[in-house]
Amino acid sequence: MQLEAVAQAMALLRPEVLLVLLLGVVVCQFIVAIPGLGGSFVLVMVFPFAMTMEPFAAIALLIGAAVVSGTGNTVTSVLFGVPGSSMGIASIFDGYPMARRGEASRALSAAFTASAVGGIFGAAVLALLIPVMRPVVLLFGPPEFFALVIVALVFIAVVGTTDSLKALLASGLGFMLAMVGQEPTTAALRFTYGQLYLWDGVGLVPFLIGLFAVAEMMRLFVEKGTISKVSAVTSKGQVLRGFLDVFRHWKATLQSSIVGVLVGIVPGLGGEAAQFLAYSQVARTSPNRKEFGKGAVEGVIAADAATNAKEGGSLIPTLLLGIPGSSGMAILLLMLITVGVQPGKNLLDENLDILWFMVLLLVIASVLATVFCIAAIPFMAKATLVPVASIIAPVMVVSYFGAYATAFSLGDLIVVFLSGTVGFLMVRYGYSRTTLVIGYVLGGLAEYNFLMARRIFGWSFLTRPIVLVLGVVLAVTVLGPAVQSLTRARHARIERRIAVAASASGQLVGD
Amino acid sequence: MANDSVGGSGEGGQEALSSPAFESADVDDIFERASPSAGEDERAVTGTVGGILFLAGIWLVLLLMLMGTADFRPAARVVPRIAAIPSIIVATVLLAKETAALAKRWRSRGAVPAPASVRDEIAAFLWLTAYSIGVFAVGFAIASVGFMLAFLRSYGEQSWRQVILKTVVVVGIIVVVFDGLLGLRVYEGLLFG
Repeated sequence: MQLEAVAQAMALLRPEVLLVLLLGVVVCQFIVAIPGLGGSFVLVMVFPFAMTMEPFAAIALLIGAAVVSGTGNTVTSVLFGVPGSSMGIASIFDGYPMARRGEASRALSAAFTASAVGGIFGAAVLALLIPVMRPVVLLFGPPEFFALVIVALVFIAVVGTTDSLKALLASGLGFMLAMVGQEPTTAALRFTYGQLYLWDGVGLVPFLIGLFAVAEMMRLFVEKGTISKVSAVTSKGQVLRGFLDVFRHWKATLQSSIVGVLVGIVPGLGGEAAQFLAYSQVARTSPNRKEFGKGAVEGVIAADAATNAKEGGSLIPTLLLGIPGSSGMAILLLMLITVGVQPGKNLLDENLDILWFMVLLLVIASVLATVFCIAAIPFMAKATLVPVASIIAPVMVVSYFGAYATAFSLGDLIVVFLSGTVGFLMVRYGYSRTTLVIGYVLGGLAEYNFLMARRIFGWSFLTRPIVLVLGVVLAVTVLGPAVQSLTRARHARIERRIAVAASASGQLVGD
Repeated sequence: MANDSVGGSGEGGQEALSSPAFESADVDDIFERASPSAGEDERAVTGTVGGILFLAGIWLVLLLMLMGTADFRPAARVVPRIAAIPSIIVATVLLAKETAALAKRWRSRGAVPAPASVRDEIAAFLWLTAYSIGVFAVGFAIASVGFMLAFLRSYGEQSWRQVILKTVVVVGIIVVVFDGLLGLRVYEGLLFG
């Protein structure tokens, strides 16, 4: 069955599909190289174009965009010490010092090659897990899916963010937005306020375009100037050396790839967590540990291999369970559903060829991205010197065109405007847009499964074994940090008392 | 792929880590200065008037949605209520924390001056509003040409030659790709449509 699906998947890799994949990789790589325009931005921007394509070409475009969205950050991190997004931070640790001592090309080459190896490793793990995950997924019915969605939502908000309350509020708001439109089992209208446009809910594409693209442009408007303030010098002689470094330091590459995949599987732990964990792991076990932070090529390899390996890991819950762990995955999931790919049981039972097709695309896109990135290093470096005004105006125009083109509705333009404003205010006041989007994505899924579970089992669905286990996980996730902070406060109080007592006794001795 | 995991690209981490002094730090220093949350865009309580107003807006929207569920059938209202009630509680707690933080700042420093970027933020919002109204009124083509000319000239301070060239290229490509190649009708506006 699996072999048959692989053969069918390979037959789907037609020349036009590969051409679209290449186009997605090339165009998106340039966009992601510009700091501030992260992976979610790229995914949102390509979506209107993907909607006009046949489904397989659309999937290729989306996977191409998704793969490069992590790699592009490395360019500015290494060349200028400016991370394109939070996922590029660990690449600076050693990449930037390497660039300053004239080894920018070596660092970039090593980073891109490590990214490709990490990406292929992640895809391989995903491929290996497909037959294993099938029986696990089949154990999940509506009650279990409902519980899993709630646990994922709370886990993402509590574990992966600085301010859990704000993240919870954002996910609650996203959840409520998902309730707009027809109720899934009876088609009863909710929160439509007499507007025909809202019958199908808040428009997905305009909502995402506003939240990410328009809001990012407003942020760039406030920042002004050019993205990078210094120009970089790159040399061509060190590319091969950087490429070979990845294989010379194979232990670091493998270690980081494993960490990346594991982090990717856990919802809420993003690319930066993968980078930092892999970097610290390699830094502590490497014989060159004293060189870390001063320009060790292993540091660059660790950060970039983990970042891309995480993508394969993230695809496991996203595609096999329909639970995205990050904004990029949430967007990808929504887009795959829109082009006709239903994740979870359906994908494993009826569309196994499409799942393998995506695994193959992931591998091909990782290789293409590396080859292209290495060839385009000097051009991408120049892209960061473009004044922001020259970026903002075209992106705003394309955003509005793209949002309107998906449904030709004026309501979409209002949604772009409102979600752009809200997205900007969320960034301004420290709310996570990611949890908002994940709440929006999972809200409908949670409601459908809740209503089905109630209809089939009544309230006794809450006593099913997997639901109970997930309930315990939820309780630990919520109560764990609270108990921890109470314990910490108690310890601090005790320490303060000891300090006061010690100083008092010191005074007595002195007297 | 998923660039901004839960946090998104933030400013704090970039500023902290783009410093040249960064290169000489050892591994432990690096981790102390660049925790995994360094790049996230969420901050804890901000204690600003704007932050409180924004939060109050969210609180109000959630409350109105909760009240709206009274008219729904039982099956249609149960999940919205399950989501709305805890969200309103969280928003209320946050409002209390934000208000307390603002009061504390006022007590300690008197009136809190608005940051210098507020004027730019308002300007960004006005540009967005103007372009949106323009698209509604006169359609994509005319509004986009007008927006690009005005924006690149005033905000970008670019020469008329550059401004016209960029406008023609961007709007031209979009009209050719959407209208010409993809056959998607470009919106002509309430006045001309």
